[in-house]
Parts: sequence; C-alpha cells; structure tokens
Amino acid sequence: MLAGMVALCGALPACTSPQPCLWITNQEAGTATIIDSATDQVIDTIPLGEKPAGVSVTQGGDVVFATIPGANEVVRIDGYTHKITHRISLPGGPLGVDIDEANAHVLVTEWYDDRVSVLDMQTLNPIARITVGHAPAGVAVVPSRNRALITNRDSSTVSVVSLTTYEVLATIPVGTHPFGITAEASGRRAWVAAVKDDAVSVLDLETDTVVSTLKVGRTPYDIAFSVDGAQAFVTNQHDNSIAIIDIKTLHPISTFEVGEYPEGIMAHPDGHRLYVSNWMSDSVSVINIENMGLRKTIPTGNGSRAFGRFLGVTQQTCTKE
Amino acid sequence: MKRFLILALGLATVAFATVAEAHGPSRIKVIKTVDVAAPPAKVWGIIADFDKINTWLPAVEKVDASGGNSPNSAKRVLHLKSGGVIEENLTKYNASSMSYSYEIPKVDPKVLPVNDYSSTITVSDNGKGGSTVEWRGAFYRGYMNNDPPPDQTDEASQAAVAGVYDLGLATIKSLAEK
Repeated sequence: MLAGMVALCGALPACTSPQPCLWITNQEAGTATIIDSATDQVIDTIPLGEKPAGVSVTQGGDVVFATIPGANEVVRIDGYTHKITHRISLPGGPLGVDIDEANAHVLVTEWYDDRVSVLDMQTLNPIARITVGHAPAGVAVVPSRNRALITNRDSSTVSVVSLTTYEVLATIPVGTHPFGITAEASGRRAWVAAVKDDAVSVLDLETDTVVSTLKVGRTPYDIAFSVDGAQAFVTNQHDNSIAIIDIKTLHPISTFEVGEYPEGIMAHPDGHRLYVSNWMSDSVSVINIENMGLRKTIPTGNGSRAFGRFLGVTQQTCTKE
Repeated sequence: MKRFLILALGLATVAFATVAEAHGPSRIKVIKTVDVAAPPAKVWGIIADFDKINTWLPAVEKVDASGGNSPNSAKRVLHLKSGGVIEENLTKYNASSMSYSYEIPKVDPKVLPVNDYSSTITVSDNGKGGSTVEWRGAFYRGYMNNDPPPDQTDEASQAAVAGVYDLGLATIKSLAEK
C-alpha cells in the first residue's frame, strides 16, 4: 500500500516525495554519517562507539537504533537532534536490528549467544529473549504477518518468530551462510543473501519454504527492492557490484559496479534513487535506477556498513525547522 | 629484519580450540601504501606475476602455482620460511590498471590469524614521477568466538597482516629503486 503510493508520487512532478535522512554506520571510524537525501549532502557525523554495524530507522525517521558489536551495545538516537538518548549493554554480540513499530519494540540479533533480544522501543529495556540458530545476523520485521525473520549464519537457516508470543514458528533451511534478509513490501516473500553460495534464497512467507535460489555475484551481503516492486538489488561484496534481478520473472537483468565491498543497500522513496554503502571505499554510491547510472559518490567514514533499514521511507524532511 | 618477518607471520601461535565456522561480527580492514621512486610499469613488473610473490615477500620460501594470471583459475601455495603454508586464489586481474585481487579460502590461524581473507594490490602513478603501491586486505580475526585472549584479538590479526604488508611494500620499494 505504502510502496504503491510512493511509487505514484515518484512519477508525478507535482507530487513531493519524502526526503529522509540516511544513517550510515561507519565501522572503523566508530561513527554514523547522516546524509540529507534532499541534497545528498552529509549534514552531520556523530560518534557511536566501537565498530557500529546494524542500523534501523523508524518509518517516520524520528528514532534510529544502531548496534555496536565492538562494545556489545545498542543505542537509541533521536533522528532530528542526533543525540543518543539511550545506550544499553547486550553482551551476546549485537549485530542486526529492526523495529517492530506496531508493538513499539526493537529486535536485535545476538551473534555469539544464538539469541534475539526484544527491547522496548522507548527505553531499550529488555522485553524478551528468543533462542534461534547459530550466529544470528540479519533480522527483518514483516508487519503484515506480525512476524520477524532472522538469518542464522552458521546454521544456514532462517528462524520465523512470532511478534506476539515470541515463539519460533518455523525454521527454514536456506543457502549457506545467510546474512542480509529483506521482505518484499507486500509481505509475500523474503530474500536472503547466502554468502557462501554466491546466491540469494527466495522464501515464500505463506508456506515458509525456499521457492527459488538465484545465483548472484560473489559473497552477496544484503538486498533492497525498488519502490515499484519490479526489481531487486543485491550487494556483491567481493565483486564490488550490485546484481539487479527482475522480481516477476526472478531472472537476472544486469550488474552494476559500485565501490569496494558494498554492504547496506536501500531504495529512496522517490523511486528513482538507490543507495549503497561501500565498506572498503568509505563512501555511499547514489545510483539512478531508471538507467542504472552512477549519480553521485558521497564520502562517508571509514568502513561504511549501514547494515539494515538505514532510512525512514515516510520521513518528509531530514531536518526540522 | 628476518626475525620481525617471522614474528609477523607467526603471530598467534598459542594453541586454542578450533570451533565451527564462526567469526567475530566485524570485518577488519588494513590498507598500506608506499611511494616508490620508479615508474609504475617498472614497479608493476615486480609484482605482476601472481606466482612470483616469493621474489618480493621475503617470508616466502617458495611458491607452487598453477593457472598463471587467470582470475578464478590461478592458484598459489606459499611455503613460508617459518614452516607454514598459505593457499591463495586469484579472483581479479587487470594488467591495464595494474591491479589484482586474491583470497585465502582457509588458513591455519597459527600461520596467519585470519578468516575469510581477501586482498588487492595496485600500482598507480603518484603524479610526482614515481608510483604508489597500495596493498589492502579485508578479513576476520583468527579467534572465532566471543572474548578472544589478548593475543588473538582483532588488533592482533590486524597487526599480523599489517606487518606482512609493510614488509612486502618495503621490499617492492627497495627492488624498484635499485
């Protein structure tokens, strides 16, 4: 629903698209770079802590969560003042993070402890802990199904978790070393990067099974979808490229070269732009989706990861008056 | 010099439990450069052949190699003076931009305390009549679980690789400027 409205907006010149902030975690620098997508300029850089990785922004852009694996911490940040409002310790190696806005919770994978922590969105107080597979990495909340999906890297499975009971409803075998996971806006399917297979596993969320396995480039990391739902984009870390896949036919369309070790990837709600963070190149590539041309390269900080939903798709403006 | 080399390549010799295929969640980055007072073509000539790393990395006793400089087929096995072995696969090779990339699929952490190591070495014109050689690597630490002992941390893995790069680059420089 939301995706359709935004796509229509992108096609009409008179209609104003949201212009959210991008929150790019920089692992080596220990910072977040904040970019205003209205101008594609860096507006601020804030210290986070040792080796930040995962990030998730609320749809409206007012709150940001980031994981700090080097310090075993999770932070909650005000999306407009850029101040850290809460910081908690999570000793199990926090990595992936996503927001369950309907229930006002945050889910964080704990890599070493084989668990997912559910935290209160306002206070970061612990609500629940769910045991999943080995080395849980990515997490994707699927609001339409009231579920979260977690990739278990060393078990090569995806855990399907209820956001009501916190039970593991299903454990789905996927490709080897699953990492990034993104659900289609419809909630019908989710795509998982199987790092060691150079492939993507496509999951049907109705049947909780893998319905397709697609070869991409080397060591895929994360996945994004175009706002119109026509294309999927996969970052290929060791190929320094994006694999572009037709969602309808599940056939590869082409590849596009970006910076080195591309990791986090997301489409702008205007439907035109694609953002990719480049870990080795310390930059964000801005790509025109229509012609797959490089629009801009924005220098960020050392080791840009932006692993997760690094922009809020309905945020109208990145800064407040 | 030689003692330092062995030290760099022989870090993390302390025995530790081998656990499944996990690693710490943060990949480590090492980028080292050296300025060389010689034209890029000459410097590239020193490192261009994937199977001749022993000529510019003194820690390497000999190399068994196959596949020449063909990406995704060329392989080399480095036999180190310290006794260890490292297997490396060429993944990219671009003579016109004087750059190639390779990976270490698996290595004994006692030889080099890294996991999922990949690396690129590039020669470029430094705009001052000479060259810059950049050697960069991405990898995870050798110790595979939470709370590594002090000598098997991210920092120890980083120091081991940085030591190798420094010495390799210093050797390239001295060979090129001879």
